[in-house]
Amino acid sequence: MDHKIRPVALCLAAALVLCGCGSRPAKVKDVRAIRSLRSGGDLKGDDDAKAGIKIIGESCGAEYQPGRAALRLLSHQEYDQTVGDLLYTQKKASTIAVFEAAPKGPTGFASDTANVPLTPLTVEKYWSAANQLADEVLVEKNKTGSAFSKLAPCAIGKNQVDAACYETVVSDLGLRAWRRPLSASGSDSEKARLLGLMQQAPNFDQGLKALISALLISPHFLFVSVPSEGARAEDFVNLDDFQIASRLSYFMWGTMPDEELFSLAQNGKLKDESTLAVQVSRMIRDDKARYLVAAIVNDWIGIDTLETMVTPGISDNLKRAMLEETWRFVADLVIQDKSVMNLVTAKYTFANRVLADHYGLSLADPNGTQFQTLDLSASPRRGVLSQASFLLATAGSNTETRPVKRGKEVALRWLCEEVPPPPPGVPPLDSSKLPPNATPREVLAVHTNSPSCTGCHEKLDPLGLGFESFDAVGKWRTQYAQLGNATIDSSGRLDANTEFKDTRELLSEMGESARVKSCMAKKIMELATKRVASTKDDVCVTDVIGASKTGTAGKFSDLIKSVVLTRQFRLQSGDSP
Amino acid sequence: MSNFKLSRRTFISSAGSVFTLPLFESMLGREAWAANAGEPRRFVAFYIPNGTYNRGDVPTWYPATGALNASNLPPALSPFADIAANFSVYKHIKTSAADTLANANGQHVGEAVAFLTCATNLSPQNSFEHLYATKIGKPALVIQGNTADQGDRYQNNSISYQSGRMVRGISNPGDLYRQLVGQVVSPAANPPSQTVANSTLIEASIIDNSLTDLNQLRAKLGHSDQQRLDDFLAGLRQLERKYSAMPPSNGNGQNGSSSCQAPTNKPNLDSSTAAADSSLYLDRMRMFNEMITIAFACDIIRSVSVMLDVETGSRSLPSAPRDLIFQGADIAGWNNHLVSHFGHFSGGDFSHSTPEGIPRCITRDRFYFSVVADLIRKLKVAQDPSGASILDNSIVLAGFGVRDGMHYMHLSQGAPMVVGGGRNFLNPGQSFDLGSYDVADMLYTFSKHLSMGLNDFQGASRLLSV
Repeated sequence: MDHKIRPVALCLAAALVLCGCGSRPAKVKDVRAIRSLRSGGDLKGDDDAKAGIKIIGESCGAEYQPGRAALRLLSHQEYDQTVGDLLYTQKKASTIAVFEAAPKGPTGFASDTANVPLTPLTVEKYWSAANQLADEVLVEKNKTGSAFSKLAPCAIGKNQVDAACYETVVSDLGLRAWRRPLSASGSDSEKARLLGLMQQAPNFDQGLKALISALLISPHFLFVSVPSEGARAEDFVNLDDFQIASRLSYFMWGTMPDEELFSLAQNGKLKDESTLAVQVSRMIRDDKARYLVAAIVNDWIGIDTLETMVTPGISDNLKRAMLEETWRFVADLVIQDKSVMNLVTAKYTFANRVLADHYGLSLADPNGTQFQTLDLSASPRRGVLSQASFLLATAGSNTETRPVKRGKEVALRWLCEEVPPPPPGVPPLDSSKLPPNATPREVLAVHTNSPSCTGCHEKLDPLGLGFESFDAVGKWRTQYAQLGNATIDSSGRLDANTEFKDTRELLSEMGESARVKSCMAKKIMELATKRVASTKDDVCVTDVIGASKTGTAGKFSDLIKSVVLTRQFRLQSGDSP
Repeated sequence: MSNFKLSRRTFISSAGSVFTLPLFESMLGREAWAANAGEPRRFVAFYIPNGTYNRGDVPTWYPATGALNASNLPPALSPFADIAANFSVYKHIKTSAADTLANANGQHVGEAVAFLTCATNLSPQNSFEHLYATKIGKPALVIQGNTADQGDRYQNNSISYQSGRMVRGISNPGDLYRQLVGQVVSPAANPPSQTVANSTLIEASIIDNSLTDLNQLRAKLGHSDQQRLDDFLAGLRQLERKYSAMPPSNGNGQNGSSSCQAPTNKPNLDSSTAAADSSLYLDRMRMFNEMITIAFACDIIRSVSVMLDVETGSRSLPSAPRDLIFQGADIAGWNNHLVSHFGHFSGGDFSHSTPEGIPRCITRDRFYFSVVADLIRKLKVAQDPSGASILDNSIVLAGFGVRDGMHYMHLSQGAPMVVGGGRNFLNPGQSFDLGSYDVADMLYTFSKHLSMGLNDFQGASRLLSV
């Protein structure tokens, strides 16, 4: 199979384009206040979506392999949001039952739960959470709008609940909890078993409680799965409508499908590309899309570490402003449906007085105390790579930069490079060979002369040194003040064919880099499928999307549609030998 | 006549179509009904790990042989002062099996395994409470007072054994509450003719249901996904074992006793965190006592074992209530293990001569005995349908599996035991010197009072005159 990107792939301009909604100055007050920023947009189907599929097919082969996402446990955040939507509760189950902190998966996203240990203690906590959440439903059951009244409207105000009501509650709640209809045929069907559990209880209320506990402790709730049903590795299965609904909702919202997705799934509409495109447009305008913002900020850009990082000398106000800048920036990108390339190319950001002073820049409204749009046209800063949050998080300390660490983070997160761990027994630096006031570049030169280190450092060091014009806390600098005012040399090479003379040029080159664009498509693909996109067909598909104007260069929703319409999203390879 | 019972799975799968029918007769073996005839007798065993101060027959622990009253109780038994007529002290009783196991495997291993089994191997078949539970066809309840799992199945968690395997107990009162709340139905509110759902099944049934879901899902998955699911399976299995500590009742959830009332207040101690919180220890154990009493009154269970702490855990004890602190030696910040060694561990040497060690050990004994005394009081107040005190038909054993916490093994001292209740077949209110008997003889004697039909208990067949 020829996986080279064909020229036609670069002409995706017409594909997947929905109406423009035009960017307007964002006035995000809070990431959670997404609703206020909804732009118009339309919900019409998009026949051009099919063109996008065709182009990927022409580049990667019509039958390109979809890859396989493993059985996946709901992440803590997904669990909380799902039970919130399912049971109409604001309770954070992961807090009630004291879920243990979960590591991020190989993709770097928290929703990639491959590395989350599943111990008996974890299961006990799920059990505890299930029971407590079930108890919660019975609280204030007769109150208007109570969870009980929504889950079992047929039982409200009745002393004797009839069999039809039991059946309705089991079917409706079962469908929503397990994100598909319950099997209902035979005496050992899922529906019959759950009805049996309800009817064991002395009354309807206790039966409902038992039903909820049973639904929540079931693997059908806790895991998102696409059973391969015996399909071999070289074969694939089509996701059914309900599986597509779940994949879509956990991709964009981090929670269960809503009523509209369930309805479309029930009517067999979600295999239709145009319908999918319409749904993406609808979903990105929903409040729940804040999940995408959080995933990008915390897991992709990776600044969640900043909140717990000890940074003496940095005021709380400044640290909060650093974090808020990035949150606002990404929220604006998602809500205003801008191109994902803004993450590395944007000539604007959001700042308050504290942050603008930190950057040495002037606000349009110098008297304003709130966050406002900050024009960066005349500044070397571009996108999140020049934001203080990212720079501080990747510096590792607030006193001095660590070019290797920063280079590694840039390589991992923005070029999708694989960075192996350092080899064992790395010798300490021989400082006797260093000149007085040696710059980081001079230090690293000694370091990387070691044959065991050269392989990785050749990749990482130029990237890290390329950002040396930003100090550890993200301020612009031209000299090392603590090293006798030595001039900073931030020149380097992005890849074999791309040199840059300074930080400004590195940022510019990254904005044009095909590798960066492919990486962005890959990141979105990984967030969508919850697996590492590493097969050759994965790489082909993400290269095509990355290069297309409607992929990374188009609106954010176009990129999502491009991913959603791939076989990677809608199909699944088998895993039987 | 076969003792036919429906399995949980069978019950669940059929319940959808037959739920309006009375369930219990179909689930209950006829032999079990017969065995249940008459006033039920109950058995509870409390176990305090790693011995106590028991050297030289000093009066801090052993009362003089003869009648007990509030004024002649030794300091360690002060929690029983108001119920001195309702319990006895068995002095100097031998722990042969524990000694044998201890010699081969260490004290902590030996005493915990042997306490209710009198076995000389580390995988005993059935501990006493399970033998009784099996005989009368009702579940045994297993409780552990400490949530810690030190990873050593022999030393730390339970004195309960079934089919050669240790049975971990319930440590969260909320778990027991959920099993009882649907099962216990006030006779006044629900006349016997009304269909009563046996909600004891529900918790276990839910786990069962999840296991069915898991197996059905597993069959559709490829190998690697199956492995991931197996991690979940291991957790479900552990939950299942937890509920097997109190398997589905064969009783009907009420026996006509006015004491058979559904618990009215949901425990506010219902979480793994709370269960691990030392400061809530006494509250949790009292809550367990309340539910044991209800379960007895409703004749849901008749057999209970409680391990009050782990053998060698490092969890700090909370401060003892003021009236339990002996000579100013509180147990706050100490762990049970070190206190039982008289709290003097230093440089590998257990010396028993420092001033606070023995008082602290007595405070610890009072602390744990206050839990035992609390249950005795509750059972004393609760009534069987005849109006008799449930305590009078119950044996409440509390004791140590080892002769003394210092492990000096003075064979003549024996293990101290407290036995509450049983007025209808025992002689409470006495201090007995049983130096010529073994724990196995004691349990054999109990088996006779409980009509268990044993010819011997681990080879012991002498009856105690108690």
